[in-house]
Amino acid sequence: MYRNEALPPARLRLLLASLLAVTLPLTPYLPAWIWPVAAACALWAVIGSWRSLPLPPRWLRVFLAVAMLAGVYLSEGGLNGQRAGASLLVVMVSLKLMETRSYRDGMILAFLAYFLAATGFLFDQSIPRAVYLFACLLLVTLTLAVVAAPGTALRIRPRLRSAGAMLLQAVPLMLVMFVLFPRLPGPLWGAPPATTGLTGLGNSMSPGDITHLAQSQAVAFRAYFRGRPPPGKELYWRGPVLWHYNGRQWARGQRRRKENEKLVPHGKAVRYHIMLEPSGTSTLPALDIPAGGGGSGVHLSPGRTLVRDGSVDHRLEYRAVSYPDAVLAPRLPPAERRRALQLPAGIDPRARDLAAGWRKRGLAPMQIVHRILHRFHTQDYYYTLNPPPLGADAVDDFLFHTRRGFCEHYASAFAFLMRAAGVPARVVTGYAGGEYNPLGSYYIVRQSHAHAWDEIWIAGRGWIRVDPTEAVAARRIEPGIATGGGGPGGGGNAAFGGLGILRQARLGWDTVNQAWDAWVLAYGPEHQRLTMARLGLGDLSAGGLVILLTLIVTGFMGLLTLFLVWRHRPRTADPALRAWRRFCARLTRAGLPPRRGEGPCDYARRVAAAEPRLGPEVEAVSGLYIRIRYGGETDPGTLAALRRRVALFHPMPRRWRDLMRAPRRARGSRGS
Amino acid sequence: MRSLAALRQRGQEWAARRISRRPGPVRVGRRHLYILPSGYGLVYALMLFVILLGAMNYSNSMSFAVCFLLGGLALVAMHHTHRNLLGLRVAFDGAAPVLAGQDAAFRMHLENPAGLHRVGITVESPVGSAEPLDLAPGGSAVATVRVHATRRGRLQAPRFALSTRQPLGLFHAWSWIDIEGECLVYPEPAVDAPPVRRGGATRDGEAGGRRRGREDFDGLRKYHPGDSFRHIAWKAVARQQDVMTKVFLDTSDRAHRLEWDSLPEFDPEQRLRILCRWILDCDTAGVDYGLELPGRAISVGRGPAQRERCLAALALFPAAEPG
Repeated sequence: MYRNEALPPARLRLLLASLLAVTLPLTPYLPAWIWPVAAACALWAVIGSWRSLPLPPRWLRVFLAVAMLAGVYLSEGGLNGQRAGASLLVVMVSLKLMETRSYRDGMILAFLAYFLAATGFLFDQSIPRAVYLFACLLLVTLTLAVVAAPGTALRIRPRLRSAGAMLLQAVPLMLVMFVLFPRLPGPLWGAPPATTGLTGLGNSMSPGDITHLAQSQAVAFRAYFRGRPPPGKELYWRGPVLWHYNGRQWARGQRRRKENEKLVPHGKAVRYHIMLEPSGTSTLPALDIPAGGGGSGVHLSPGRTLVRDGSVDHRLEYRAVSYPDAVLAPRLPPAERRRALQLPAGIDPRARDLAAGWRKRGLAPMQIVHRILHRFHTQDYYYTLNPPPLGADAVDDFLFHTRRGFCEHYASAFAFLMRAAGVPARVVTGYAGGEYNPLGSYYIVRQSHAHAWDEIWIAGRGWIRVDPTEAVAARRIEPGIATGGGGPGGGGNAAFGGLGILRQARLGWDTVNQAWDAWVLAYGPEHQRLTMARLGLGDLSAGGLVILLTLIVTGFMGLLTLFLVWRHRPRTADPALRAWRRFCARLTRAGLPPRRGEGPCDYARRVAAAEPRLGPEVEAVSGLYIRIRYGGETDPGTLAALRRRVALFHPMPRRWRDLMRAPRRARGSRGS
Repeated sequence: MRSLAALRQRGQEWAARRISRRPGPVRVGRRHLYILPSGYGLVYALMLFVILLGAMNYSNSMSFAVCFLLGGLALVAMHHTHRNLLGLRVAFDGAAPVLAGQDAAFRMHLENPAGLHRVGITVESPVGSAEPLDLAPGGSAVATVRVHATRRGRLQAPRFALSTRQPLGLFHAWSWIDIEGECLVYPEPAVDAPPVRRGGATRDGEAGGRRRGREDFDGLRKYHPGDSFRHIAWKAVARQQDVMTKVFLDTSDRAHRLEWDSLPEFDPEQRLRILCRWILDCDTAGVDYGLELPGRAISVGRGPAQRERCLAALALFPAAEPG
């Protein structure tokens, strides 16, 4: 009908504002040239609506479409993927803007604005972005209401109110659908998104080559303990175990054995679950020493590292059990022993000499450990994140020359010395420590908590953890290093009370974020099953979910209908008459209904005669009513008085109040 | 497309069977209120489906949330669209008579008894739709339903639709209104009517006609000696033209009697059309006229009332029995 009517400039401006609002969050993911192009297209639309510019000729539009498509292809390296998709969407909207003239075009653009808002979440789902984009949805809904109503006055405020009301009424539906809509695992088409900025535990370390260790405050994972959480300095989160040293790099080495190292449980079991951020690796950090982990496709590697089939590209939650005091591998088969003593030939002669001296003196393994730790503690070894590069004999260079390094240098040198002294040793990488968040009762472990330590094997005691970095004297730790960075214990379980308000706010925000991640963003097939089980609907299939969803949505819509009917019920325009009717209804409930054709004066008199208790009040109300309705009284105070009196008028004492009072009175009378 | 049109036809017939003509006022009830997604609604659904696919593929919770919120919004909007029409009262408010061949305009009084602001209510009449109306709580408005009047007589108000797409344009709700009401359709005035044929001697002695007729100015003619000085057109003399005399005709002399019987050579409908033309011409000229039809005579008079009376008589003149 009116669909082809020209879209007036005011409505077009609102449309452009919506489009701009939903496109802004995409900026970091769009090629830079898109903005000027989009702005030019928008300008064309504005001018076009203002003084009926002709549509751009067809050849120009086709040419622009091809050019922009090619532009996206060139800047994104293809047309697949989320970024290219977002760029294409923006290009499409820009081209559509150029030829936007009518209400019909306005509707299509409003739909595209919704689509852009959803696209904005593909890159980032944080709380601020969610708040922003949901506010944008309100703006787009307002725009839709405006472009869907040609031929009517452009009234923003009532339409905004109506759009807001409708969105609010849709929120319960959204929540129900969010929880109950059957979630399917995995991608539908083979394009799993590449999570940006993955950092995680590697499968090797080469301390000599790193001169700068970036301290990332990004969260690696969060850990929730069942029961009392262990103190921060005992938190060693086990990652890959490194056996093989080639003179520069520690690597996992060739795996000989298939079966796991034997774990003899000892002491208390610690149960916990971990919310792991996407890491891009298959390692699942677990508290030393893990006895088992939950979830499908999760198993323990021979070196007692929890691993998963395939890499962690999405946030992952898993449960695990650990025994911090267990004995690991009481027996060491000869093949393993050889691996644990492997050293590349012909390098680091001074370190070998030092170790050989200890060996010659017949020192026990633990004595050797103490020698090394003592050396690190008393001599001028420094802990720094910016160590100098090491030469060909990396361990010698570090031990006797530079004496500066971070955990990897100490762990590497320690393992080298132990092996050279004839004690089986290996390097374990992982995380140490964590920041306890008392608001959410969990530990936050950041990438800056990444750590490396050693394990030595002693007959009868198995693999024993030794953390040589801890031995470095506190005064020689480079100032400015974040607490817990590289070394365990720092800041981990510090008393919360003495902390600044800033840190408190930071932890509070982390708690909120974490709840958001755990309850909203991580909600997938697994969570849905758990939730259903918690609701006692454990065995519900996808079909069952759909039926349940339909029932709930239908029920809600029924309620909404009733609400709308009630909300928009016919109302008497005269407030005095409304108050009077309410008054009559209360009296009717008390058994004194007005008679047909009875005036307020007669009615009041009759009620007063029948129920003298109510007399004065009824007279007062009817008097006020008569003054307003028939006496031409216009003072708003009188109306207010009438309404107040009616509101407080209770001819029949409320039943529950009666029930509450009756026994008390009875007791009182007995007492007197 | 043909099957779609057929389906629509069947739907309309089904809806037609469900309503009966009522004297009104008619309240738009649930039973007669229909709602379907509009074309835009289908596009919207398609968009939601694509968002859903994206959300599933990327396991993106917030995209799911957007999709579900917008889905919920559509469901809520459906109820609001439905509610926008529900409970509306329609009463027939009269229709001005028209000539056959023109559009009859039936005025419909729309009343909004509920406490809700109704927006974008369209009256879809057989010839095009009117501008959408907004109705404030407790407010009312008058809309016209137009229909082409083809034949003289009483034209019944057509069945028409009240429809709305508000608030979001995703749904189209409508209700068929079949309300009693009629519009008088006068015959179409003949294009090439013969000049007015005077009837015979004036039979009626209506004082009123003659009295007003005395002052009826008919024109000017050249002065003849003997003309009353009172009738000389002095203004014309002042303009230095010839001396003219104003001529007044006695009404009883020039009142037209428009007679059915004076047109024996035409068929009945054509006679009515010619009479209609004569009535309109007389009315425009401002002369008195009377009408004589078989079985009905209207005495001499003039003015709008006379015109309506005469035209109504033509409109309601019994049609000739076929064969």
